[in-house]
Amino acid sequence: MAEIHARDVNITPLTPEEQAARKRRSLWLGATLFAFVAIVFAVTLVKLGAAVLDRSL
Amino acid sequence: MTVTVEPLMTTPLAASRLATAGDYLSLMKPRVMSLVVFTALTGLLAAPGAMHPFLAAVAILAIAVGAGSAGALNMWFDHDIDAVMHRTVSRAVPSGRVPKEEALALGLIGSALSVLMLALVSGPVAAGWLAFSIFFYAVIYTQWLKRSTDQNIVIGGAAGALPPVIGWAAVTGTTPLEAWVLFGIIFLWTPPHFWALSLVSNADYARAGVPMLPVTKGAPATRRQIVAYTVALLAATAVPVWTGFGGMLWAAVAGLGGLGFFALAVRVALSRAGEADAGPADRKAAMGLFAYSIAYLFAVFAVPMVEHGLGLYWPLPQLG
Repeated sequence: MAEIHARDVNITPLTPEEQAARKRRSLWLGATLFAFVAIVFAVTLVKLGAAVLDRSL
Repeated sequence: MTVTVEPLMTTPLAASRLATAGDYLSLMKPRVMSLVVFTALTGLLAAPGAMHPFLAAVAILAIAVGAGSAGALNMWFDHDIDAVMHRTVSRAVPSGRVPKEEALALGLIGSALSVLMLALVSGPVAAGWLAFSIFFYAVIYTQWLKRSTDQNIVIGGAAGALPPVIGWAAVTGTTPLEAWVLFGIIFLWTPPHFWALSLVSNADYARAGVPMLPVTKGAPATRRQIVAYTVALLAATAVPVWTGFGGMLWAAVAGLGGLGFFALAVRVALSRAGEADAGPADRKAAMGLFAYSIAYLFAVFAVPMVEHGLGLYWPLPQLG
C-alpha cells in the first residue's frame, strides 16, 4: 500500500492567525463570485427588459 | 512503496498564508486602474448616443478589471526583475505574500471574465479592443518590448492609450477619429511621463537589466526626448480644436496645461536629472514633471466629460 510521508509533503498546520486570514480570503472570494453572478443577472434583465419573459412555453 | 509528493509551489508558505484580499487587489495596480477608469469614462461620456447608466457602470467595471488583470499578468512575468528594484521589491509577488502562480491565475481569469462581461454589455467591438489591449500589455509590452528595446514604453504605451477608444466603442460600437485623437494624446503623453520617473530610478532599471532610455542612451538624450514628445503632445491636443471636438474649455485647459507641461519639461532638460552627480533639485525637477503629468492628463480628459457629457460645450469662434 502506498504510504505518504507527511515530512515529504511538507504539511504544516495553520496557526490561528493563518486560519483567520484564509477565512477572510474565502469570504472575499465568495463575495466577488456572488457579485459577478448578480451583475450578469442584472445586466440580462436590463438588456432584455420586459422581453425577459417573452419566450415560448 | 513510498510516494514522495512534490511541493506545488516554492513561495514561502509563511508569507502567503497570511495574504489578504488587499494583496491580491494590489496585483491589479489600483493607481494605474484609476487612470484607465478615468480615460475610459471620458470616451464613454464623450461618445454620441446614450447608454443605460447601469450598463455604462458595468462596462467601466469590465474595462477596469481587464486593465487590472493585465497588471496581474505583468506582476507574474516580472517577478524576477521586481525583486531587484527598490521601487517594486515590496510588491505582493516578490515579497512572497502572493505566489506567482496565483498572480497568473488571477490575471488569466480576470482577463477572460472582463472581456466576456464587456461583450455581454457592449458588444464585440469594445470587447475585442479590450482583449487586444490586455494582450498588448501582458505579452507584447511585458514579455517582449520591456526587456528588449529602449522604445519599450513608447510602443507599449499603446496599451494604456486604448481605454478611451474602448469606452467610446462601448457606446457606439465604432471607433471614429475623435476616439483615436484621445488615444494619440495618451500615447504621446506616456514617454515624457514615464521617462521623468525613469530618470530618477535609472539605477534600479540598470541593475534589473531593463533597457530604459536613460540606461541605453543616457540621461541627456532622455531629457531631450522628453521635450520632443512634449511638443508632439501639445500638437496632438490642438487637433480637437481643429476638428471641433474640443470647445473653448478644451482650448483653455489643454493650452494652459500644455504650457505648464512644456515649462516643466524644459526645466528637466536644463537639469542634470538622471546623471550620477544629480542633486536634490534635479530629482525634484524630474519628479515634479512626473506628478504634473498625471494631474495634466486628468484635467485634459475631464474636459470632454464636461463639454460632451454635461453639454457645456461652447464652440470656438471660427477663424477667417
